[in-house]
Amino acid sequence: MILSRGVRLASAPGTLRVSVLLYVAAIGLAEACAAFVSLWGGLLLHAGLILALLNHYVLATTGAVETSERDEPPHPFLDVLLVLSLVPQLRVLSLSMAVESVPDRYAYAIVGAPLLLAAVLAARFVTPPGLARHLRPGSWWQAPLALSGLPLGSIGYLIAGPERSIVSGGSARIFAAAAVIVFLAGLLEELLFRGLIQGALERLFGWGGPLLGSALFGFVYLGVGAASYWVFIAVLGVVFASVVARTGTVLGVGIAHGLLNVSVLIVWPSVLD
Amino acid sequence: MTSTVNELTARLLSSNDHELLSTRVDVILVALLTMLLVEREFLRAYVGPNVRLRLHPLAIGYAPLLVGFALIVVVRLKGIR
Repeated sequence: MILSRGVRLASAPGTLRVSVLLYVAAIGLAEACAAFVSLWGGLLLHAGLILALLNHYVLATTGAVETSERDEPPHPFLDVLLVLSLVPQLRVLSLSMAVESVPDRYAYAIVGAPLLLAAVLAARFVTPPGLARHLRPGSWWQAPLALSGLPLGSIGYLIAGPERSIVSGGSARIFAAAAVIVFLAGLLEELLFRGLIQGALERLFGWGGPLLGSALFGFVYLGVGAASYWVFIAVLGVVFASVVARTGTVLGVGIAHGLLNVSVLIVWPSVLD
Repeated sequence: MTSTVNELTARLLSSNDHELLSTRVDVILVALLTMLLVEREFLRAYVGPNVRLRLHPLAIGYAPLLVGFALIVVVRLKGIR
């Protein structure tokens, strides 16, 4: 089996797919552990998963045999190992960057910045490379799709919105916080789950890729608190996944996700306060 | 209410044993970062046919942690002042 450009490894495709399914299940277990059993235990599992996924990548290429087929496209299994490591990375960064003295409006930035770096690095090694290809404008209806984040945010706020806005004060401060949330919470999550992860899983599993990507998205929201909000987000994840599978761009759903977050965290709490 | 800043982070910050939990989290972060950097050096020392292919993707693991570590140090130092 061709694993990477010019590298051949004898592994059955079924074995590779099963190992990916086991990793997805392990990520779900780690998230469930962090949300319902022990933060500490969940974090340990996530740290172990980062090591396991990256070392699996290293080992998969260690026994590889070079081939003369230099133009053969890389096998998606290697891409999947790399992009899956972003999910435990998200949780490790999210918990390790939680500092008492940092207000919520900055917390999104200090978790989002290293996560964005991880996404940029992962995008360099997957095929085809680059994050920008996931942000193509696409057709005209990406605009209404993006704006759908505002009514979706109203529904989200009705389900489980916070009592207070995460930011108060002048309009400049509110605008800055909204921009951080749109780009480093909404768009970045969509780039990770619908762009990189779903893209790699689609190449390995076909139509099952969006389903597995949506499952991972659902797992990382287990710690959101309210069960009804989790159901809302999980269903929305499946819808967004199918939209991205059809359109090939995360721009519309990314902005929609960002506006949803802004609506839930800033707009409605400010209006009703 | 997002995957990165949610009930888990709020629970971590508001727990009674916040100091202990926070220290444990930091220990995991440092241990993970150290392991990845040591592994990177081992791989660098090993000159195999695909060493470049294997070495670079490890940056996905350690580079964000290094940035996160630096940000935490800055925030903590700012807190001390």
